[in-house]
Amino acid sequence: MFHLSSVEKSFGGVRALKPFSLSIPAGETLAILGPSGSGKSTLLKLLIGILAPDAGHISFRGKEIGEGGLAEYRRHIGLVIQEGGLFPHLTAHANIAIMARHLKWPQAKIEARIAELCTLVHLPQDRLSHYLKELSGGERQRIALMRALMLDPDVLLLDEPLGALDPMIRYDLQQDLKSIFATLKKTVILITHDLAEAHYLASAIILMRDGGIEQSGSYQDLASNPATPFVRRFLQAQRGLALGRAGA
Amino acid sequence: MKKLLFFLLTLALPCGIASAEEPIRVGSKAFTESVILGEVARHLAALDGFAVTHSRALGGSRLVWNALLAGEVDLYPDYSGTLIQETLQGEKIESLADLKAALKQHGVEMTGPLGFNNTYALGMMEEKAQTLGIKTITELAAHPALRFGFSNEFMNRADGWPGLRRTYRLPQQNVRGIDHDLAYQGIEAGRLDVIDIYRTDAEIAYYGLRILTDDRDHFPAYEAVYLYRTDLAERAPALVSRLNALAGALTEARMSRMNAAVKINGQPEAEVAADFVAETTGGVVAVQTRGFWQRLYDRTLEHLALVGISLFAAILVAIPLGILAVRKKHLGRLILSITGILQTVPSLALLVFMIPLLGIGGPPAIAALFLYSLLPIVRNTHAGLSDISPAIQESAIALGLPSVARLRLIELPIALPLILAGIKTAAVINVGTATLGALIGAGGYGQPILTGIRLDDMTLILEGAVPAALLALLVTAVFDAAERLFVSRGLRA
Ligand SMILES: Nc1ncnc2c1ncn2[C@@H]1O[C@H](COP(=O)(O)OP(=O)(O)OP(=O)(O)O)[C@@H](O)[C@H]1O
Ligand SMILES: [Mg+2]
Repeated sequence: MFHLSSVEKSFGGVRALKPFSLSIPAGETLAILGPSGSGKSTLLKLLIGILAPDAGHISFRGKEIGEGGLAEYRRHIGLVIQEGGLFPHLTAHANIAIMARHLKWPQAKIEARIAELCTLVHLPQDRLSHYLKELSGGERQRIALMRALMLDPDVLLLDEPLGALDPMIRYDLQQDLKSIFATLKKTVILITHDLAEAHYLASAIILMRDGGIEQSGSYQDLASNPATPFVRRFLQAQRGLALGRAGA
Repeated sequence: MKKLLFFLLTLALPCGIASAEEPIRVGSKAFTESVILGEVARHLAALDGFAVTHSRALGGSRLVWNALLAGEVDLYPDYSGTLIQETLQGEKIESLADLKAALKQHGVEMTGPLGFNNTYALGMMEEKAQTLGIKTITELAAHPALRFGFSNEFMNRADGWPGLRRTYRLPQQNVRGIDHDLAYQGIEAGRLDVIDIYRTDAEIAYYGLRILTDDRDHFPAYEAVYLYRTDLAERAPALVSRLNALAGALTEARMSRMNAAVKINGQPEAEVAADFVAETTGGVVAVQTRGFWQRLYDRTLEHLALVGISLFAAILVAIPLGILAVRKKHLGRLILSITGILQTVPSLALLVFMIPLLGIGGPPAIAALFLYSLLPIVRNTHAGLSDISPAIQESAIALGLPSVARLRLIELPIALPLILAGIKTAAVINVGTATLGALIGAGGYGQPILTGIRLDDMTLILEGAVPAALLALLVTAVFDAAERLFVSRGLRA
């Protein structure tokens, strides 16, 4: 689905991505892990074309992205970021429908699609008339997800979608995301800090460090065969946290 | 968004003030006698059925002269001494005949002298002059501590203070410029000792001033005349012959009486002038003194036009400038500093700068107000757009909205509360600053304020100041309502 070859990106003196190559097959659910500042969000922004690479190529379905216009391309991609990035001046409904309206979908089609999405993400319909400030964190992320899915994109990009939620709501949403991914069978790229979440939701994992890939593979690959001392430390840190939380 | 545009359009509505026929335009300088003589000319024109307007109390000599040359006014009253010593200084003029010839070079005609010599003079309170034993200007030299207050024009004219000081070698240091009408109050209150006066000023008798003898003949004769553009003789020959027929008809005593009637008795200039016209020509002009409500209504329309047009134009220009300033950082800094600098130009100066470009009346005032309104709107548009969080901007881009749609659907609506606040600030400042427009003939609430200052009439000042304050409150209320109407509930606290 995506193919990156020798992609580089720096901000001023800061090197956010080292020459970076990666192929993401269609239908894969990929989790990207890594410490803060390792370049995860930068990678996602390159994929959706908010940032342009300094060098290298990014192709989508064999074509350089942006070839047929970035706006057109972006309609095949849904993005959800931490805190949702919802528009505060619009109701939840208007947030979700904004692109469909812009593309002049008939009203009935918009309503039908929103109803369908409400069922999918388990959002009661009456929440739709509310503004951002009147919605809870969990509701906001469900609405952001609906907005990303509205045009039925081929790819879903999620940048720490559950990062700001309290553990109970986070747990509910993890369950829901798992079933949504299973239902939709889309290509999903999910950034998270949480190894357990990555294991639960994704079939493949990339662990990043300082703008490069430290190790990639399945959870089992990483757990049983840590490629570097850094990977081992990363795994230990995650397990320690998990044990502590379990109280065992 | 469409509703908002409509709202802004209605702001600009009170602007449809234009007339079809070109009337004869009379001008006058910013003191009572000039306004009365302007009214006399207006009545004379009305006698023969001409459409005629009078831009009263336009400003100083230079301004009205330039307005005449530019064709902004067709005629106005002036004084031979002023023309020779000040307006045409540098041209060799020895007699009235020379003056007439010199004026012709500028395309200007002059009537014969009306019959009185309104020379400059210096005046002191009788009591003070007696105590110090001062009768002549020469004797002032012996009292260097005396406080002088001179009209601003006198301070700068060749025949005014600079020349006077040289002729009499006057040593006084405490000399300040002051509005002529306020000078009388200053000398009466004892804050000034010597002021410049016109011989026909009504206040001389009223306050009991002693006129100091010009013992070295510094001041020339200031014969009152009308000046008119050469083409007026073709456009309105009847008026020109009426003006010329006035020559010699107006004595110093008669003029003083008219000044007193206005300044001391508070009669309207139009009435006093009409009486004089009836006396000299036998022609009766109906003076329709506008009632209070009619005056208020007319001025409100004028004021709204000044504020409305300038604000509307500023909105159309400033919002795109604000958007541009956010998109192009370097250009943005330039835009913000230029509009900032415009804001620091004193309003009066800005108004006067506009005159050579746009003449007198509404257009230069609107242009100045327009420039003043830019900064608050540009600054707030810029701030409102820059404040939008990167998360929101990136989400909007990631959705695949093109940039124009992002601006319209996301960025402007989120910045709207700040933009509206900027427009509100500009509007309120405009309502206040527009009162200065009266100084250059733009009318509005400033007119009664200026006249009130000229005539020392507090009621008249309030007649302009109170509606201006109320209008500012109303503007605030309208914009608060607009905010409730147009700003999304999701953005309000
Ligand atoms: N717009 C920018 N301007 C300057 N530097 C940036 C910018 N965006 C990212 N960086 C830098 O690039 C590096 C990678 O940032 P990135 O946001 O991709 O990290 P991340 O892995 O997403 O971190 P986190 O887990 O904290 O979100 C960091 O050093 C960051 O400071
Ligand atoms: Mg990040």
